[in-house]
Amino acid sequence: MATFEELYRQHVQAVFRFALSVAGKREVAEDLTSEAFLALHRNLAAIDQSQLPGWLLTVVRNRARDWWRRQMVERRYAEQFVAAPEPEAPPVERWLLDSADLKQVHRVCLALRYVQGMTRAEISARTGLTEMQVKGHLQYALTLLRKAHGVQET
Amino acid sequence: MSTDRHDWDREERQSLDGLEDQIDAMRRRHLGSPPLELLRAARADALPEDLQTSVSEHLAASAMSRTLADGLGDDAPALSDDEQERLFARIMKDARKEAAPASVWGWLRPALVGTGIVAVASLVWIVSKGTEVGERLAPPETQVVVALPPAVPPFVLPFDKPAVRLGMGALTWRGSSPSTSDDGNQLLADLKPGLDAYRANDYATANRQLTALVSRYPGTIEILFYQGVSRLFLNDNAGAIAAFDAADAVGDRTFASDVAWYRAVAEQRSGNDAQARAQLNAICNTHGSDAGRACTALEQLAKAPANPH
Repeated sequence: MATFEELYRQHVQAVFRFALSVAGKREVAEDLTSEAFLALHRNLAAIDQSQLPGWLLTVVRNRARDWWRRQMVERRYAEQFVAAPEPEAPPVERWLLDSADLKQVHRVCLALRYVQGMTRAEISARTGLTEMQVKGHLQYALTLLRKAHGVQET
Repeated sequence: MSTDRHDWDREERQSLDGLEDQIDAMRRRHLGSPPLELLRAARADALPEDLQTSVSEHLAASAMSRTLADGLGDDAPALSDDEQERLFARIMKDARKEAAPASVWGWLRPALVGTGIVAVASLVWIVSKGTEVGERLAPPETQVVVALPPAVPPFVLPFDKPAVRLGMGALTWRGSSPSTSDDGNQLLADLKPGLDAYRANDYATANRQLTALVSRYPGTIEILFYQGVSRLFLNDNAGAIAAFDAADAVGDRTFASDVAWYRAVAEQRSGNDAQARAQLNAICNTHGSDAGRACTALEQLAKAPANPH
């Protein structure tokens, strides 16, 4: 049976990534990760270790729901969103979504920059990438975009 | 937040020259979409019910929002070594705080035990004297016995992580694809991020990466099988069953027994014991190497009380 520290080292990255994906903020993700491992520490003797990391992720998911519930009250999130955009997508959008040359990170950076209109600093804050990384991914993606759409190199 | 093209730098203006109208049209199409954080939380089923329903409906209809919700894949940032250590120290500090009241209790315990011994000795003395005092003693408080569920289910199908293996179909894949890797096998190149994440126990990423490949490589058993196992690790039993269902439909005999075994695990975890037994029966009735353990599992299931899941 592994010790608590061994389990922490084995699973912390996966738990943190999951927490970051459900909360979107690094400091909240750290809180959720900390709470999950604290729960594990509390229940270490009773837990079937073969259920890890699923057990930890379930704790994160439940705590995240509580966190979002509080956010709903504080931020008054609208609960109805536009179900779907208009059916006609321009060619650039179809390329962004379907091009096999793009990696997921390129699609996300392009979408945040040109669909959601974020600055590079905002993209960096939302994704955890550095601003330099964001700039690099955008530059690469724009080069491909130019080629795909026949825009002349200048 | 920037709202238009005025904050584009020179390179962006050059790159997007002639495409501005399309960019504007694309942005207008998604003005009513939920913010990024909500999309990603909904993807992980981590929102309160009403909000989850609303955002999930949007996700089902919007490919752009699904792309954002899928996150960064392998590029997702993780904790640095320093951050890992700092978080560990914080957890241990909180754990010690929680344990502190127990220490006080530990200090008081000998005194309370001593008091109890004196009380019991007094009671014995009173009863042995047969005086009326004994009859006036209050009846013992009713003891409420709470029936706790067993800590460990009576019989839970073993869930061991299967190692990554690739069938001949994947190893010799030569399908057409918009981009082809250097060695000519684009399927293997595309599988690699998902399977690497799976090997590294990062099941959320593995699930995401493999799910993204399902429509591009329909009927590829490796994608569906490791997607299902990743979902089992994430406690997404319904999702795992759906993946194994699709894997079963592929009809790949080299994975058939594994698909049935892990499907049985997912069914049992979902409380569908009859379905779990049906899967095990299918393996037990073969002459394959897994038949023995499936038959044994069936016997144990028959002896055990209902699974509390």
